[in-house]
Amino acid sequence: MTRQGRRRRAVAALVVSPLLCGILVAGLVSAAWLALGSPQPAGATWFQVTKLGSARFIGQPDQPFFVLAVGTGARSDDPNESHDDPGLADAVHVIGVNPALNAATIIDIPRDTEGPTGQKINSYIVSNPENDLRGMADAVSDVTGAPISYVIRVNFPNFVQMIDEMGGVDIDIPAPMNDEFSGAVFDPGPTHLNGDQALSFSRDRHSFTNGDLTRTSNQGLLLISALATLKARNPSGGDTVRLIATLGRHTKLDGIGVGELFHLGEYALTLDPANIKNVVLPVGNSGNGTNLAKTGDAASLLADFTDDAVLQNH
Amino acid sequence: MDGATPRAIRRDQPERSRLLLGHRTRVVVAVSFAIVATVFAGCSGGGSSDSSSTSSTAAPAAKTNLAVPMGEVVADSAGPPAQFTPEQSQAVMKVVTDYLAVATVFPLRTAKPVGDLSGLFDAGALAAATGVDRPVVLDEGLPKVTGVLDVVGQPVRIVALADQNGGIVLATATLDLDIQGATKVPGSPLRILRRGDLVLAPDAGGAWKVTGYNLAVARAGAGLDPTTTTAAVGATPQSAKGTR
Repeated sequence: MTRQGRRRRAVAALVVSPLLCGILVAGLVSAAWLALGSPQPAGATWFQVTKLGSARFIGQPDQPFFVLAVGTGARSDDPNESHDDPGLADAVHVIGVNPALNAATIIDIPRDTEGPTGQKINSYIVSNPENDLRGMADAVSDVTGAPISYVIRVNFPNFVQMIDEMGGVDIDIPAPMNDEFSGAVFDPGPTHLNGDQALSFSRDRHSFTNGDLTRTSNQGLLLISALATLKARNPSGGDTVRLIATLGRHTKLDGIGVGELFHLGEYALTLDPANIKNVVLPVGNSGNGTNLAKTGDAASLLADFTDDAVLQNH
Repeated sequence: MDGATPRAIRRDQPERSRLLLGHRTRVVVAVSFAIVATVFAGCSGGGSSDSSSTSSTAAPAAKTNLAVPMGEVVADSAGPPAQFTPEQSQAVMKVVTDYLAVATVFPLRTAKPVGDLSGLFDAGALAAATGVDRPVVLDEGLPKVTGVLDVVGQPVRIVALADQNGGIVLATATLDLDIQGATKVPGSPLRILRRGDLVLAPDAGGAWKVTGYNLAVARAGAGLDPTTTTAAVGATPQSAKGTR
């Protein structure tokens, strides 16, 4: 090879080597950048945290608390517009929540259960219109022994609108229902209920031999199913705001404001529906007239319930 | 004779051709060095080379880009229709950006623990954020970012809640953040993805503060170990497992 050829080869090597080096480095850098630039880096470290506000608003976050959920038959909050029903509470449920156990229990109170002054429990909400929700809570507390912090009440039209605005409820109907009075016509099995259907499902007592006892149990089931339905949608904070606004528009509250309700709702959405028991208060035909009185089994059940807001032995 | 041949040949080449060859060579060499220099300059931003920062004596402070704009603002009411005013939206956004400055930028830039957060969190949230949730809420204990730090995010969506009288009681701010910065840890830049919601409410004095949060964070690069933790505020302490 000539000297000129060697010089040219040397010059070429001098030129090509840095180029190859540069391309190599650029390729490596690009590969690394692409790897890190992916939306979820490989081998990423994931953390998840949920700040739950419900417990902060009851003084001590880990303490159990009780909520009374009431559904009345009123067609309006204005008695003059509710001729069919003065607003008797045919849905009475004490919801105990134990944040430390991340569990809850619903005690369903049959509407004919005898209250502390001998009236049916469903009438206490109308016997003192000026203090309807707290008066109702006091009566239910007397029956169950549960200190009730919050009361949430809904009437017929509000219930229907609320369920519709929530987008309905997915539920597994436990038994056939065919009741011309409530309009409940359902086959057993999973189904989706709109507001009217949910109301029919909640009102039906004629499809069952034990009437209101199964009805109140179904109402508790509907509460759990509604929670499960909402959880399945994995709502964001903004979604929860909308849910609570919907709830607030269609309910009357006692002992809790909308802001606290938001935190309570956020907490409720963390509960596993499987950790929520739904039990009917044991009652029998031993009360005054058509009243139902607590049976002997009720004492131990309520003791189990009120000690920490959830049932462990029932 | 043979030894004179190249010189003779070169002498025989037209002068223009010789000049052109030299020019091409210089151009190619210059370009190749420019490419290499550019590539290595890019590498130095990745924090993979200490030698690249040897001239740091006169280097200006590395730039921090904090670009998290406000997005959609809506209000929903449990009573009459309500509005979330621009002043309220700005107040919420200020808490959000202050949170990013204090909880992310400061510890990443200084490698020091986050300071007082009581101006941003209420007492309940503060206890949790600086306690069991500290590794999630704050970007502490990570390699110091020495290069450019980018804190960018999708527009923050704000949803406000009004009570049954139409008064605003709280707002949620949805975060979707992508944080990247070069460290001195060889291998790769630090990257943090943080998504979720902050819940804010005005305190007794009207100052908006974080009262709750639901955050997920992913960290990668800069030699971090791929360990995972989950912590749930308000749940049993046993549900919080490990740290970063």
